[in-house]
Amino acid sequence: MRVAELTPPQLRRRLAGAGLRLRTGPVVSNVRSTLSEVVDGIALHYAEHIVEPDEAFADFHFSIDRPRGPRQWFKSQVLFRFDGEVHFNPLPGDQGFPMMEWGLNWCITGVCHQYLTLHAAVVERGGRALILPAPSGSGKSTLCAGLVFRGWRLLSDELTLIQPDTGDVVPLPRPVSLKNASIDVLRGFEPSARFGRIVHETIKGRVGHFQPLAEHVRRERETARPGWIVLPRYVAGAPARLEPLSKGRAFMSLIENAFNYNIHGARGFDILADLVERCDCYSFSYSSLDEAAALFARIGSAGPGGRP
Amino acid sequence: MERRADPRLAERDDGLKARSSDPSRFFVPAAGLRLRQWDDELVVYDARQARTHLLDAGAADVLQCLLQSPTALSLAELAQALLADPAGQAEALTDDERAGLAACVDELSRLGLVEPQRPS
Repeated sequence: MRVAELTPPQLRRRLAGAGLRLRTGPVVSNVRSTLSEVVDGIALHYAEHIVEPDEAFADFHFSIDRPRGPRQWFKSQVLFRFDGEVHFNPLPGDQGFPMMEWGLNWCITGVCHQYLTLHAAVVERGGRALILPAPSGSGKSTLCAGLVFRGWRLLSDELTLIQPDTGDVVPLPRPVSLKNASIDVLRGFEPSARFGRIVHETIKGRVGHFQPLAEHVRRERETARPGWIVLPRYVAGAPARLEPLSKGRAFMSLIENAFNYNIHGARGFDILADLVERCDCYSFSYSSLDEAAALFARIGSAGPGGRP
Repeated sequence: MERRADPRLAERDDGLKARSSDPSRFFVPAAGLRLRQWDDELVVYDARQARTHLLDAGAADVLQCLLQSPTALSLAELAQALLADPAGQAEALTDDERAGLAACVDELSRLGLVEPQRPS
């Protein structure tokens, strides 16, 4: 069953009761919440995601709700609880859905060490993954958002999961998070993008999520072979520019953007070194999403090893 | 965790002359290094310290030379091994070259990739 098959009252009851067993790629979360913005956010953004049976194993159990006491209504706040425990400071009351997304990222990066996890957006075309590792604020999510509306399949806008045995990328298609001016940039680039409620004055500024494309969610079990590593950087006013990057530099960038490289030890070194060897490596600067999309369309058509 | 090092960036100081004439011999501790070479770059994982380093061509050559040597090498022997032609003849190092090699070994030592073996 998919989330969209639940009526709004059914979805509300599940989230308010024992929880909704929501599958996102390889992980299942048991989500509980009585907050309307969380219920609405799940109904919109996770419409095509699978609901696992109540008795299915859940990797994570978390809730997003109001704290007890006066903060329920006085300058209201929201709390993310993991296994019933509070691990973060509360956020202002309308930030329940972003908090769920950030909380789920935290769960995956902190627990799923069966993968080597990179702070990187990743999209796929022709079976090959384009990995975009970068810290926050570099424009990777904006670039990823543009590419998924121009023929690339969304694997993740935030977390790249590398399967250690095969070196392949495991999809984790979820709502794509954009911040501040990027929200309007994408609306101008692709008017069909379905944004949920825009949340203002978060720690990251104005935050909006848009719904992943249904086809991308339905292909969430299709892994992809690594094809390209591209370090993106938004530079105001700059033309789209792709420059070859040495494999050594690309390797060190992967380490800097890895969440659990240390946990994997020497095997982590081998996994990332193998990943780099399988990829064409570039640095990329841009300001126009149209120019970027056109350039990556050529790369995708040529395939790894081809001239962009 | 220190992850990046470029021994080319090691700065000279007044102590280099003294170090370059230091009778120490150097070796690479046998266990725990993983290497991957791409063009003139070498990435090294040091399992003993759980650190990863990116070395340029010069530092990579020095490390590989010490790794391949069955015994610890002095700076003079290292220079001989690095510069020798197929007939085993090596040109004499200039003072600057000797100082550069000493700085490189010094930096690799600081990173824990190379260790000095003091004369007994």
